Amino acid sequence: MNSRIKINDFSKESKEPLIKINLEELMKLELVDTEPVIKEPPQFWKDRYDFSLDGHSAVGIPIPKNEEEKEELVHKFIKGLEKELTREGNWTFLQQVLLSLDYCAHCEACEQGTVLQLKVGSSTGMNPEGFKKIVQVMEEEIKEKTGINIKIPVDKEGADILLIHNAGEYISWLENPEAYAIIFEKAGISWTLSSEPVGYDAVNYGVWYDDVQLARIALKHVQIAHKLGVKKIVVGECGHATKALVVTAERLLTKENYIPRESVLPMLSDIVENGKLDLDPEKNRFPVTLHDPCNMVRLSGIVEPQRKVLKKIAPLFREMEPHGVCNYCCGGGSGFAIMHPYNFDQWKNKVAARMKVKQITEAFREENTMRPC
Amino acid sequence: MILGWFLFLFIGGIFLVTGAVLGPLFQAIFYLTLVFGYIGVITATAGGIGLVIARYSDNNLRDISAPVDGFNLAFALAVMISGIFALSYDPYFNIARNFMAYLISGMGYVLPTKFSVAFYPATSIQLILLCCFLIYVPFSRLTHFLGKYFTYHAVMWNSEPSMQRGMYSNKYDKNVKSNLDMKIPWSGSHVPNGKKWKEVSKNEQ
Repeated sequence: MNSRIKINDFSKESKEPLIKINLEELMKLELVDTEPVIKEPPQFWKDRYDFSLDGHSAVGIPIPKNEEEKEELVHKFIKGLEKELTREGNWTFLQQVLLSLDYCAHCEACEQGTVLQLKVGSSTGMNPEGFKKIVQVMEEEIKEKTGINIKIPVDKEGADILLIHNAGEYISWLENPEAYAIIFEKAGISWTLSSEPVGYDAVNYGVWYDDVQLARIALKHVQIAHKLGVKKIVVGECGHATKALVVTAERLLTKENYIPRESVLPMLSDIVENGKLDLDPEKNRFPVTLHDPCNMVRLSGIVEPQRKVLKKIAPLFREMEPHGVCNYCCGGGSGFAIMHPYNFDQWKNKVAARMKVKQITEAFREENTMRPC
Repeated sequence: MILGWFLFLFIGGIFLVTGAVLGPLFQAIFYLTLVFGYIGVITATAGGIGLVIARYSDNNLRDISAPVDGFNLAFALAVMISGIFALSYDPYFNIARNFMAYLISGMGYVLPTKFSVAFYPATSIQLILLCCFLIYVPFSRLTHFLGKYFTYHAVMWNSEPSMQRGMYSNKYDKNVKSNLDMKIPWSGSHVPNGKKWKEVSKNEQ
């Protein structure tokens, strides 16, 4: 049994975890019969990286080998914090930081931020020719699965909207951009994709890096949209990208760099509500619930459009409790769902997603079924 | 309610200074002062006691409570509880109102003897505690009640869109451009030394 931890305990120096996560001490999941045991990290990890909080690590902070390295690490950390507390260094978010620091300092920084996106152009490293080949594959798959011939517009000038997905979708979940292509074509939307690096990747890794990188990527998105002459950028289903480009950039884009940006969810809601698609809700007669992602709902304020769509097309839709802005975090946002560093997955599945599992199983309690997130 | 009570005391004080204390308006202010004052003092005291119980009976809240949190609560409660004691000598807030008139008039208003604070120790103590509390608040984290407007009620720092009715109307445009003209105080492999924000945010590739 873990003893109670006090604030002062965090300053204790020890390689051993301050707290061990024990399955017996975690909230019981009534509707789950068995779950895997919690494994200790291997000793060679603990010898090299810091697991001293709870025996888990997402970022692999190296343990300093000597006092000099330790001083350097602390010095760099403090220098980084100092950047946040001056107007010159942090004019973008200084008010929020100073107001929040009095009571709580939220750190959403991910040390896995990388300049790869800017040097190559996207997190997937695809050049325009590679991207266009992927689009061809999409068209072929759509034809194969649905019989519909769609010519997906790429770099089309003068379209109404530039749709930008998360670049990873073109590698891992091609069915998502395919679905949007079908919906937009059927709804008669004037749209285009961009084959330019950054133009096909809505994710702004600069959010995890610093404001200079954030600005560069956001401006690049805008520049590509201006070059294509579109009226609006629509951000696909990536909460992190939505937060960065739709919300964060709103105050930072000057008049000369401005272009309207919107999440795809309100657009989908309009399409469904206005009957632009021939939909048969009876084909979706199975239990459905909705998870409210932090980036979309709490950070971007997009709460209702997705519900309007589901209520229209899923007759057995039910909310999980709590929902909307009161929903619990699932621990998978900002790409964490697909990141598997060290034993972070174990922590994510056992702790962060625990409440989410409870919510989902309870939403499907009557049917006694479990659905993946 | 306490702020409302202060407001009505202030207005009542003005009436006393001008001598216009016989009309119906003064009577209305008089009764409003009673309502706001009693409800305010009782609920503020109950709330303060509730906060102490909540903070120190819950293990998790207790663990994250710094000594200054306890001090702030104790200080606020001392003001409230001394106010309840003072009420026994000033059930109609006449002493408080006359003192307010005294302050408003720049100490020119002549306090009737029976309403002079000095004769009532409980009221004197309450007044001293209140004045010390008002001096202390700006230097403490109690001012979070002001910050709360910006962090909660203004909903993430002025969130009206920059594009309204098809027109760009970001009233912060000038501020943003002025900030972009500042030099970045740090540098890195991707940010050359001594450059301005507007210079490095361009995409040079």
